Amino acid sequence: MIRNIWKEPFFLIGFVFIAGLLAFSLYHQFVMDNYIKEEQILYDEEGTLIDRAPFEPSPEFWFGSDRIGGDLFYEIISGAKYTLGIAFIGSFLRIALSFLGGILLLKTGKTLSVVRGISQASYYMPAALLVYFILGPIIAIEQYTFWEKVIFELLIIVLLAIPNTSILIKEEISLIEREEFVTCAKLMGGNPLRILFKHIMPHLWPKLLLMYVQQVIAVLLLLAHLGILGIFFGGTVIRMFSEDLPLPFSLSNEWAGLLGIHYYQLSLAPWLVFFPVLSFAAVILAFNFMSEGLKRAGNTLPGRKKGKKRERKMERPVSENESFVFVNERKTG
Amino acid sequence: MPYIIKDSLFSFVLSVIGIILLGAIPFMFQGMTFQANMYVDGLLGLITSLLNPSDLLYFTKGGQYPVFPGFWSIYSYSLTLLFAAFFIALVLGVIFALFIFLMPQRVSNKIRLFSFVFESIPDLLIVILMQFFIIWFFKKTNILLFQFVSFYDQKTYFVPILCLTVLPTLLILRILLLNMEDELGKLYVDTAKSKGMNRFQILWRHVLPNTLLSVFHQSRNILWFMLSNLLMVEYLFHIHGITTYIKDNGEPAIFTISMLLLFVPMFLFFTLGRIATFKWTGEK
Repeated sequence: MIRNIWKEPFFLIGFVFIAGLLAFSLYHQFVMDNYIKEEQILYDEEGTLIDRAPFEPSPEFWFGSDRIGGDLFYEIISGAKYTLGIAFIGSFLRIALSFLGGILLLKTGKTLSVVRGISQASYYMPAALLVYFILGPIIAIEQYTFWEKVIFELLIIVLLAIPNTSILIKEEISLIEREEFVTCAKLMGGNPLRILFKHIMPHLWPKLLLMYVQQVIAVLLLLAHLGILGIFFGGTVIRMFSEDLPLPFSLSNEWAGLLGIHYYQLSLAPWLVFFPVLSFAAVILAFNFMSEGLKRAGNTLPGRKKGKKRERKMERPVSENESFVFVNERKTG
Repeated sequence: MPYIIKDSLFSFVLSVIGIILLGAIPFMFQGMTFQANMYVDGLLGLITSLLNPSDLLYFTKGGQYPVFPGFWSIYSYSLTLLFAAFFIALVLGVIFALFIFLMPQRVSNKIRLFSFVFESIPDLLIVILMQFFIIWFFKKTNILLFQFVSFYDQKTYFVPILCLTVLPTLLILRILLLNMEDELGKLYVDTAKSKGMNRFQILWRHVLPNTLLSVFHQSRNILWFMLSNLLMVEYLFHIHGITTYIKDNGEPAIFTISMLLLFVPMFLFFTLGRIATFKWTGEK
């Protein structure tokens, strides 16, 4: 299945989009030196003043600009690597720790229903609100450094998802354990660890990969929600807009930060909110393409195409030009 | 039947314990350091304050007020939004699904192929597009569809429910499309066809009831997803609902009791659904 995914158009579309975005973001960082054009006032050729920041989307500023004149398109490109990076790392940790949790749960037996019942509780509350409720008071403490806050936030986002994901992975493992080849391996005296890695893992990998992509989507959505609620990675920096008007700006241009900072200007400069949300939507769409491709690759068996062709050949009518004759009347030889 | 009641009671108690455990998490951290004994103390404190709900206070700039009775109106408002949107989404989803299946095979196959796209629209996008639309509509026609600044006793229903309905409709539509396709391949559909029933009758009388069950099996996920939607809608439209209420009062006791009260009707809904399913199909 893993080899099949490269032939799956849905997966490829999503993958190319994400890879392209990341590559552009890194190119912007290292080759273009993270340069973001800033202009407060625009003049036409004759030098007369035509507009001042924030600019609307135009050929010069594709996505418009913020109040200090920074080009939103390049801000989004520059922030993409951080947002995607957090989503990748966060969901990787979620899956890795949940995998360990799933293996531990295999040994629980009857207490499993208790664990499942308790972890169900998080299905009755909005995820973003729970994270906000836990992180809100701690993020507000000023004595912590930027990196401490980032790590703590990541930790909370990862840990809260682990109980439910562990149970999901445990159920997947149990499904595979019911297969006959696992019973055979057990009867032949393979020890549990060897069975897990030699016999179960090859079947579990594709499912873990699919879960990983789905977790990336979940983390991205959570980040967007947290950004709106005012909690975001990437830090804030206060820049002086004019002599006496300090404005908060996102330090790293991370998308959730852009959203949270610009949200208050929704009616003044709607594009400042719209484009970050649209980028989130585009990236989530790309990941959905990937997960759909993975699902399809899991459903198609290798070599199915060949079989189809052969079938078609056989379906052709026996005789196209001859007229109808009964079989017993047909002259043979 | 007794099995369902016993099992539901069991998971009810466990979920309540789970919610209280989650609600006490802020006690776990002193700054960023983890402290287990503080957590136990906080948990006990939380339970005692939950047992005396009339003593709960919430703090605003204006002073402190008791949580109850004022809480009930906020609570019922949010619940109305949530469940109204859910049922409207269900009806719309069914209508669209029937409509798509009555279309020519080629078109409906295409729609089914790309139905996963429905899942990738973030709720934020819907809410923000709605706000643009309201502003644009106001500029064009001078009719304000939604009062952006609402007061405590003023409740609007139309726009928030509309925002909340869009995504669940698409979600339910996708579930219906996938399951109806499976269901249409079953033998009883062929029997019905051979008896001369037309396509709509088969869909309506036989396929739809069977697939609605699968929607019900997914309804916990749908409602969970809608809770996140509700948070965004309430926050972005400045509605005084239950989620914004919790957001503004970060008190563990208020968080826990609101979550418990939000949990009860959702749980009742699932349990009633389970009993109904059992009566209907004999399926636990």
